[in-house]
Parts: sequence; structure tokens; C-alpha cells
Amino acid sequence: MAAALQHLLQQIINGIAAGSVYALIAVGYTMVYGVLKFINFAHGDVYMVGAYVGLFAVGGVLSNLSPVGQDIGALLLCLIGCGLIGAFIERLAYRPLRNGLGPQDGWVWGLFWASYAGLFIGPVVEQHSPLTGVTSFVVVTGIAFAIFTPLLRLLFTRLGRIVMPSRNRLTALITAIGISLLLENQGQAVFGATPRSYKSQGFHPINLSAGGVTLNFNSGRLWILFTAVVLTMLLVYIVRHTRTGKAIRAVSFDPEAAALMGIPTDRIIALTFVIGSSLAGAGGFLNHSFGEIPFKADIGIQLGLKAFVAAVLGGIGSIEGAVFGALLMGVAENLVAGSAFNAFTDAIAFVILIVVLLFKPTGLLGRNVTEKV
Amino acid sequence: MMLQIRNLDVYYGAIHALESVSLEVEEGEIVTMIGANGAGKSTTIRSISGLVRPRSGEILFEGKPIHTMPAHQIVTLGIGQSPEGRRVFSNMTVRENLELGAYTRASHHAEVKQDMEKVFHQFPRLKEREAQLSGTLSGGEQQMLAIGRALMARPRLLLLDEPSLGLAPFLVRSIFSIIREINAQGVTVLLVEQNANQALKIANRGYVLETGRVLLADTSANLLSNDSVRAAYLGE
Amino acid sequence: MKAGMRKLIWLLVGLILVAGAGHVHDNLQGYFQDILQRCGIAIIMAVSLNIVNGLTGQFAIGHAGFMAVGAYTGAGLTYQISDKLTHGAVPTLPIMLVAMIAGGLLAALFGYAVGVPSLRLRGDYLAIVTLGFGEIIRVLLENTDEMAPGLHLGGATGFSDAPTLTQSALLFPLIAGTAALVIVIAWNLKSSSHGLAFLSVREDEIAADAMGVNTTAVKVSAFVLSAFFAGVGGTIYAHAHLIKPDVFNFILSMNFIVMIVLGGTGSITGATLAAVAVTILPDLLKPIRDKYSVPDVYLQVIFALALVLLMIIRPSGVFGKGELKLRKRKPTGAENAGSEVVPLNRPAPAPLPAGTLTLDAQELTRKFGGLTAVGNVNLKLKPGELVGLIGPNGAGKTTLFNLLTGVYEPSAGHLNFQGKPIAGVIPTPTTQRTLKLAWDTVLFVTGGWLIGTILSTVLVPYIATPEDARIQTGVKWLLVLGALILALTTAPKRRKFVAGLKPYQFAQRGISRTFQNIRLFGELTVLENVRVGTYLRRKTNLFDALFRTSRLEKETQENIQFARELLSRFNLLKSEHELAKNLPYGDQRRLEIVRALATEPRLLLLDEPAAGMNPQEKVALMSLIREIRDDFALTVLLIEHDMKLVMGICERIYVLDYGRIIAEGTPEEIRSNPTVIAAYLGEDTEESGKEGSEE
Repeated sequence: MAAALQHLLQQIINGIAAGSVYALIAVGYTMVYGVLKFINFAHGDVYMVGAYVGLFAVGGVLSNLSPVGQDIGALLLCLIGCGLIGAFIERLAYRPLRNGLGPQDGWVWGLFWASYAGLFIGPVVEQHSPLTGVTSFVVVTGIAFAIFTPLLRLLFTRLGRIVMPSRNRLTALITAIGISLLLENQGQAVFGATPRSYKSQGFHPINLSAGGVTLNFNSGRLWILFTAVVLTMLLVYIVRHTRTGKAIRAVSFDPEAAALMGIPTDRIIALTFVIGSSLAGAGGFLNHSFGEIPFKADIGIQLGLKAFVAAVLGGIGSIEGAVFGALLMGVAENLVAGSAFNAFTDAIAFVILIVVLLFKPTGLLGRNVTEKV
Repeated sequence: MMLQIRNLDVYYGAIHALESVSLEVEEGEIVTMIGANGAGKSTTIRSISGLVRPRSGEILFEGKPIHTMPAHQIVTLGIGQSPEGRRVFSNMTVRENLELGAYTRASHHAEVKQDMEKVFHQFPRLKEREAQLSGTLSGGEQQMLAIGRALMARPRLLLLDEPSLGLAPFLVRSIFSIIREINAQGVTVLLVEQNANQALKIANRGYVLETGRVLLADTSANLLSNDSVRAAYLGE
Repeated sequence: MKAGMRKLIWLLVGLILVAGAGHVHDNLQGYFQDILQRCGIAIIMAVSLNIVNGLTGQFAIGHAGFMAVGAYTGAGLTYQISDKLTHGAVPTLPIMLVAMIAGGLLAALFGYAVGVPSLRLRGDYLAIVTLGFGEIIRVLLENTDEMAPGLHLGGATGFSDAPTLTQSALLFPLIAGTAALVIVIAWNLKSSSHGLAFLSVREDEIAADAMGVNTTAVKVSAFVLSAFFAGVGGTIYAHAHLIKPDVFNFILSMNFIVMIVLGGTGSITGATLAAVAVTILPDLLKPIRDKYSVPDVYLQVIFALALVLLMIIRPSGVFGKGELKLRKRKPTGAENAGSEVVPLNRPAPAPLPAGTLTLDAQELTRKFGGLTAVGNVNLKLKPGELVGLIGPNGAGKTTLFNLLTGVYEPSAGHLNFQGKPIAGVIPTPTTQRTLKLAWDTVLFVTGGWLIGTILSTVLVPYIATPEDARIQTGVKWLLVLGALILALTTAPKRRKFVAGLKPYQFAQRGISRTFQNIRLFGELTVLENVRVGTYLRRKTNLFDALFRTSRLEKETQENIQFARELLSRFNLLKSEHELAKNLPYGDQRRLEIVRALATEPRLLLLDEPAAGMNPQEKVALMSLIREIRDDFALTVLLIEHDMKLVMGICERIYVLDYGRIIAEGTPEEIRSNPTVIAAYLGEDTEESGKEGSEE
């Protein structure tokens, strides 16, 4: 009996930890769906970027700090770095899709292509000059940026007249798939195809014993739960009670009417990308920070899919729903993983989803929206 | 000159929605645009507020070109709008809607509070329903909310797109008297209306639009006595 | 038979083309043969996916799942038949045909099972469910060795025992033949009146429903058809390549989506070309790749970038939405454009028994949450009446219309149409009731048993030792019992209702409508819009459309003639081939009325038909409405704000306020009714009468 109970508790703890990671990613899906009504398939890949940022932060940039400093520093780096990447993706692809391509997009695309110049020409410069790798990358990118931007502005001014913005959701989805493929393959090109893992010094295994029941887990898992809870609570507060939160809700309800209130809709949309992406990035760091789960550049796809399923399960558009759905899914998955059906662990999320959608199409916490006739 | 539109051309894909439309609004006036559906009234309003980008021509607000500005910046210049179909945020309360109306003035807490009281004073019905979700309001109340919300930004020019649409006849009359009151408080009004008769009665001047072009521009009195206008738009 | 001859000729031409392609194929090097084969399979997949995503505008993203079902079914079957019975034999043509059909059918069956529950809902649900389906299938296939070791499907490592046709001359003709068949069938469908119904669902589901198109049936048949061909494609694929569960992953599904989007969603020629382009692109880049030794990931990066750029610069696909045509053909029916339209005699409806009301609403109520939008409405329409419904905005007029057309089910009350109940509590015949109860019981007990088994297998080891089988059985039976109780308690509720008539069933019984904010099928022509209206009186079925029978051609001609007759009466024939969205506003409103009339209704509901028209147009519309009422022997109920219009043409008027009828009577009675004046017209009688008429 005690063995069974121990097994159950262990799986529930693992499930909640896994669910917290899903939650951190799912919130981004649900927020972007709220404002733009499309599934941002590239979101899972931001998680992957977070994992790599964590790898380089813990193993490189921050390796001189104390263990706690390392963790907090890496977490902050992931939040900021992935937030910026999310905003950049939105600015690079989704906004031109929405508003049409124009001269205002010149600098973003300039920066994008310039970074490729830095990537390819940078190493050459490094060989033939006293500059370090990073410096030569920055220098080449900067020069290329200065050259590309005016050229692209000119090109986009021309293109802007013939390119019509598209509100088609399918187009947005294909773009997201394109971005996802780009991040994944570019990630593999830069980071290599071998699975990586790292271990932050701040985390250690914990053994809890009480009444004959022993539970083993890494303190990192507690941190995941804690961070996920704090971050999502903060987010719910922001969306419910602050002026920016009201603006986010207004934009997701009616972007045009919101613009007429003086709400900068594009900036609010970018902000939701920043928030969602930084949370996903944090998830990427936390989930891999204690060295138990190796990862490579394609980690984001499967995990992203599942997080998306969690968001739908909880009711897409609702932040609380996404968190609830994610925790539920994490626990269910781990219960199945510890049972005779463990081979079907990867399918259980989708089975639960389909069953729930059959009975409650709006998801567990979603609200019913009737279409106006 | 408060608002000046010069030779505005707007396209929706291949459709030429506005053809060389020119229009002027003086400070303190009520100016109305009348015409059938599809004549380009709403498109003109939407171009002024930055929701639609003109292909050519210009829009000057107090001498400043605004046709290249994003919609949210135009609001900060002092142009407010009650859009067609009201478009209140029906998932939020009446109060939250009004707060969003003052989004650009969030730093002036005391003033915003004052303005809200003013709106509640003008529309006592809204005060009664302050904490109610605006989706549960009746059509007339939603229209009041849409106008009140636009006023919260303290606009100097108020764009009203079909404020009487779908309202009971007695409510239509009260909406028009409210517009007159707002104007008396010093807000310039550009009004788009199906209800040409009522609109011309309160307006100083009127523009008649047809298939994207300005057909006639004159004082309201002259338009009201113009035979072709009477036949086509006043139903006599 | 002219049509028969033409079909024969096309068949011959097709066969010659396939044979020719086969000849070319046989003389190519292996490498190019491989490319041709891959292109063919890609065409099958892309065109079949296009039937769902392009024609009906749904959003299925699990095509690889159906392909996998077909692949494993087909290959499993040929393995069982050929390899086991005659060792090392290559499957023969009959065996392959059986396998392809079996693979297609099983995939179609899965499509049906996935489609029926998810297609009833609008929005992204299909996307999510098909996505989940694809993943579930993949996981199941990875575990075939544990679940069914006797089948030797190979589990996660792949079905390496599967028979292969790579060395057989049979492979390419099968691919080319199937690809040609899919294209022809998709083309036939798209150009038929059934295809128009598919397209109407894509354009506006609510309007299609109101025009009598059973949108769920249309979507499900498109989905099943698409799954069928995906299954056939999968079977062929399985005999040309080694199949592994993780081949059929999310990325593969996305590949097919990319093809149809690049080709222009809905365009069959576009999908075909894009399938070829996407397939051969990596091969075209091969020389460059080899020369500069570009790593494979960078090819993927370039592909991804190209995709993003293309979507931004040309969102409607490389080839646009239309079909590619060698020469411009006149649209159907254009040959007699402008000529006099011969009126078609449609049989007159049987007269109703004396005293039967056309529409009889009793205590009709609709609540949304706590809000009563329509409360206890009694409304009676005699045959041939022209009745108005007025009231302030938000009074519930449109909600009432939605109740009368089946868009909403009433929360309480009854609705009878021509003496028969169509909404509210409808008594069901005993046999039907018994069948429903039996079905419910079977469904719930099976479901309970299934869920019980799974749950107890997962959860029981956590709460008891594995040996304790009693708990296991206990949990299972508890759930079965619970489900049984649920079935028996919910069944009485279902016994009272017919499963709730849907708007399309209202339309079939003879209730048609227009919409307050125009809901035309914008991307269809004027004539096509009206033809969608005639769809519900069809006598042909989907198979007639897929194989373009003479029955179908005859019906199409009749419907076009009827539609054009209606259009000419409304003076819209001159723009019959224009897209509906390009019509002037007033014409759009009238086209909506024509489309509603094309369903041959007995009762016509007009929701603000004159909104946005100028006074002159309104006057014309008034006489038109009266005219059609007389000509078509209709009953008409109209919502209108224009008091002049309502008072001028209606024989009776109902006034709605806060969801309740506050007055009913002749225009004169309404004008002087004190309640109406207080609630709607305004306090000052004298002035309100005047202003009302000025409005």
C-alpha cells in the first residue's frame, strides 16, 4: 500500500512540475490567440531558445556567479532575451502580414539579414583580425545593418504599393509554421544536432520521507512550480487590473475600437508576444536547468504542441484556463507514464483533449461565445 | 480651419471607395455627411481617424497632416469617434469602457475622474449601470456609452458615425439633442447620418455623398430646400 | 447521348495520357522515376486535402494521420495476402486495388469518426482535433508490436516486412491513375451544384445553413472524401517507401498544408502544381547544394524563409485563388445570357387545410444566461399575410427571427409551421423513442466500460497492489453503472425532443430568410448565390456530382433556368456573372431576397430589407415585396425600422419591446396605441407620427 501511495505521490509531483512547464508555454499561446486569433506555432521554438540561452548563461556568461546568482541571472536573461525574440518575430513577420509591408519594416528586415551577414562573414573577419568572435559578429552585423536598412526601405516602399495586407488566418498560420521551421533549423545549424544538457549548481536532489513514504525529486522542480505560479499570478493581476491589461483585453475584443480609444494596438500586440515569449523562455531554462532532460533544437515542436493542447483544454483565450489545463495535463501524463499504458503517454494529452472538446467545446474554463447572426 | 480634407482617394482592393473627396470643418461647427449606404460616408470618417489609409490626397487637422499617422496618435491630437455600430467593449463594464476612453489621458487622474462624472451627469442611465457589463445594455444605452466613451478623451473634434442607427424614434430625438448639447460645450462635430432630415436640422453645413464622390456641399438650410436632395434623401 | 460520348472521350484521353506518362516514366533513370512517383503521391495528398480545406473552408491539419491509416491498412493487407500465401511475391493489380480501397475505406471511417463530433462546431476545433488525431495514430502505430504482435507491423522501427512495388511496373500507373482520378473527381465536384453548396459553407456557414444546406453533412462528406483519398495515397506510398510511424508526423501534415496554401486555397490546378513544385524543389536545388556543399539544415532554412516571405508578399498563394485556364471559357449558362428567359413552371404547393396557420408561435421564450431576450411571444401568421415586426434596437426582434428560423432553440414554448410542430417540445413516435433509448443505453454502457477499463488500469496500481483484481473490477463496474444511470436519466429528456430542428431543416420545410447585415456568398457569382438557394430541392446526390451523371447535368440546367428567371424578375440578370461582393449595396439586399426565394419558401422572413437604401429605392422595394408575396403566394414577416415602409405595406404589425409583444394590430391601431407611443414612438403623438414617417 505504501509503495503504491509513494508511486502515486511521486507521479503527481512529477506531473505538477511538468504541468508548470506546460503552463509557462501555454500562457503565450492563449494570449496571442486572444489578440490575433491565430495559433502561433512558432511559440514552442521560443522555449527551445530559452533552453539554449540557459545553457550558455549557466555554462558561460554567468559561470563565475554564485549558484543562486546563476539561477536568477539565467532566469532573467531568458525572460528578457526570449521576450525580445518574441517581439522581433512579431515585428518581422506577423505585423507586415497584418498591416502590409512598408518602409517602416526596413530596419527589422535589415537587422534580420544583417545578422546572417554577421553569422557568415563574422568568422572570416575573426580569422583575419585581432577581434574576438562575438565582437566581429557584432561589427559585421552593424555594418551590414547600416547598408541593408536603407536598401530595404527603398524596396519596401515600392513593394508596399502592390502588397496587400492579409487577415486570412490560414496565411498567418503558414507564416507561423515558416517561422517555426526557421527557428528550428537555424537553431540546429548554430547549436548543432547533438542533444545538450546542463546542470545549474543551485539545484540539488531532495529526499522527503514521512511515514514510510519516500519521495525523490530535484529542487529545480519546486522552483519551476514556484516560478510558474508567481509569474502567472502576476500576469493575471496585470491583465485584470492594470491599464495595460485593460488595453490588452480591449485589443483582443475589438482592435479597431481599441485604436479609436488611442490604444496603440500594434504595441499592445507586440507586448503580448513579449510576455508570452519571456514566459516560454523561462520555461525553457527552468525545465532543463537541473540536467535531467537533454534537449536539441527540435525540442520545441512536441512540447509546444502539448502546451497548445493544454491551452485549448483549459479554454483558449483564458490565462487561468491555460494554467489549469497545463497542470491537469502534466498530472494525467505522468499518471499514465507510471502505469501499464506508459507506451501511450504521448497520446494521452490528445485523447483527453478530444474527450473534453466533445462535451465542452470551449474548454474547461472557456466561456461560451455565440456568433451574432 | 479645424479639419481640411483635400482630394482624398481611397481604395478597397480594386474598388474605388472615395474619389477625390474634399471636405472642411470649421471650429465650433456641426457638419453632417449624408448619402445612401456605400456612398463613402463611413470610409471618410475612417480615413480621418486613421483606420483606413488613403492612396492619395491629404487630411489636415489644425494644419497638421494626419493621414499618415496611426489611429492611436490621431486620438491624442484631439479627434474622438463614436464608431458605426457602437462597438462598445461588451465584455467589460460601463466604467471600464469609459476608463478606456480616457486611455490617452491616464496621467491626469483627477481630470479623468471629473470627466467621468460629467459623462454620468449627461447620461444618468450610464451612472445607474456603471458596474454592469456593457453587452447587457440596450441599444440606446450602448450608443450613449459609445458617445460618452469618445468624450472621455476630451476631443476637440467628435466624429459620430450613424449615432441614431437602429434606435427607437423617441430615442433618436434625444440623441440629436445630446449632440447639440455637446456642440454647445465647444466640441466640433462631424456627423454621418442616414437620418438626413434630423441631421440637417441640427447641422450648420452638410455634404451629400454619392458613390464615393461629394455631390453637393452647402449650408443645411439650402440643402433642406434643395429639390433633388429632398427627393433623394428626405423622401418627399 | 452527347454527354456520354464526351465522357467516353475524356476517359480515353485520360487513359492515353496515363499510359504515355507511364511510358515516359519507364524510360527514365531511377532517380527521375522516383521524383515522378513522389510528385504523383504529393498530388493525391494535396488535392484530397484541398477538398476539405479549399472547398469547404475547414481547417484540417492531420492529413498525415489518414495517410498513415491507409498506409498501414493497405500494406498490412497486401502483406497478409501476397507475402504470406505466396512467398516473396509482389502484389498483383487486383490485390493492390483491394488494398487501396480497403486503405481508403478505413481512413474514411476514421475520418467519419473524427469528423462527426468535431465538424458540428465552428472555428478551429477541427484543426485541433485533427492535429490530436494525427498524433494519437502515430503513437498507436509505434506500439503495434505490443498491441497486435500477430500483424508484424514493425512498431516504432517501421514496417520493414511490407511488400514493395518499387521493382514492379505496376507502381507508376497506379500512382498516375489515382492522381488523375483525384483531380477529375475534385474538379467534377467543384464545378457541380453540390460543389457550390461546399463553397457556400466556406463563404458563410450561417447563410448556407439558412439556405437549406446541411452544413454538417457537407463538411463531413468533404472530410470523409478527403480522408478516403488520403488513405488510398497512403496505401500507394506504403508500397513505394519503407513506412515508419514517425514519417507520418506533424511536419508531413504541414507539408500538405503548405502545398495547398501555395497553390491558392481552393484551386485544384494550383494545388497540383504546388504539390509538384514543393516536391521537386529540393531536387532542383541539389546541384547548387552539391557545388557549395550547403548543409541540409540550410536548405530547410531557405525553405522556411521563402515560405514566410511568400506569405507576406503574396498571401493568396503563388497561383492565386482561381483555377489556371488555358483559354477563357464562358461561365455555365452564359450562352443564353441576355436572351429572354423562359419562365419555368414549378409545381404549385398543395394548399393548406382551411384554418391552418402558416406560423403559430406559442409562448416562445429564449433566455441567454439570466437574460430573457424573447419572452412568452405569441405570434400567428395566416397564409398570405404580410406582417411587420417593429420595436427598438435590442428589443429582441432579430433574436425572435433566429428562433423562427431555427438558429436558436427556444428555452420554452412551441412553434408550429403549417400545422406541424418544428421547435419547442415535440412529441416523438414511440418506435423512435425506444430506438433512442436503446441507442443511448448501448452507447453509454460501452463508453462506461471502455473508460472504466482504461481508468482502472491506469489508476488502480496507484491505490492497490496489482494482485487486488477486485478493486479493478469494482472501478470498472462502478463507471459502467454510472454511465447506465446517466443514460437512463437523460433519455427521458431526449424522448420529448426531436433532436432540435436545424436551420437547414426549417428551410427545407419552407421557411426562408434574409439577414440584417447582408450575408451573401461574396466570392461566388450572383447566379451561383441563387443556385445555392435551389440546392435544397435537389434530387441528385453526391455521387452524381463526383461522376457527373446526365441526371445531374439535367438538374443543373433546370436550376440555372429557374435561378435566372428569378434574377430577371428582380432586374439582376445583367450582373449574373459578377461576384456578389462587387454588387452595389441595394442590389446586394435584393439578391438576398432572390436567394431566399430560390429555396421556394412558403414563409419569407425579411430582416430590415430596406436598411441603408435611399427613399427612392425604399419605395421601389415596398411594391416589390407586395408583388412577390402575391406572385409566389407567400406569407411574409418583416422587421423594419422605417415606419413609412412598415405602415405602408403591412396588413398587421407586432410591436416588440424588452423581448415581449406589447401590441398587435393594424397600422392605424398601432399608430394610436398608447403603450407603443410611450415605448417606441415617443410621448408626443402628433410629432412622433410626423417624424416617424420622415425617417
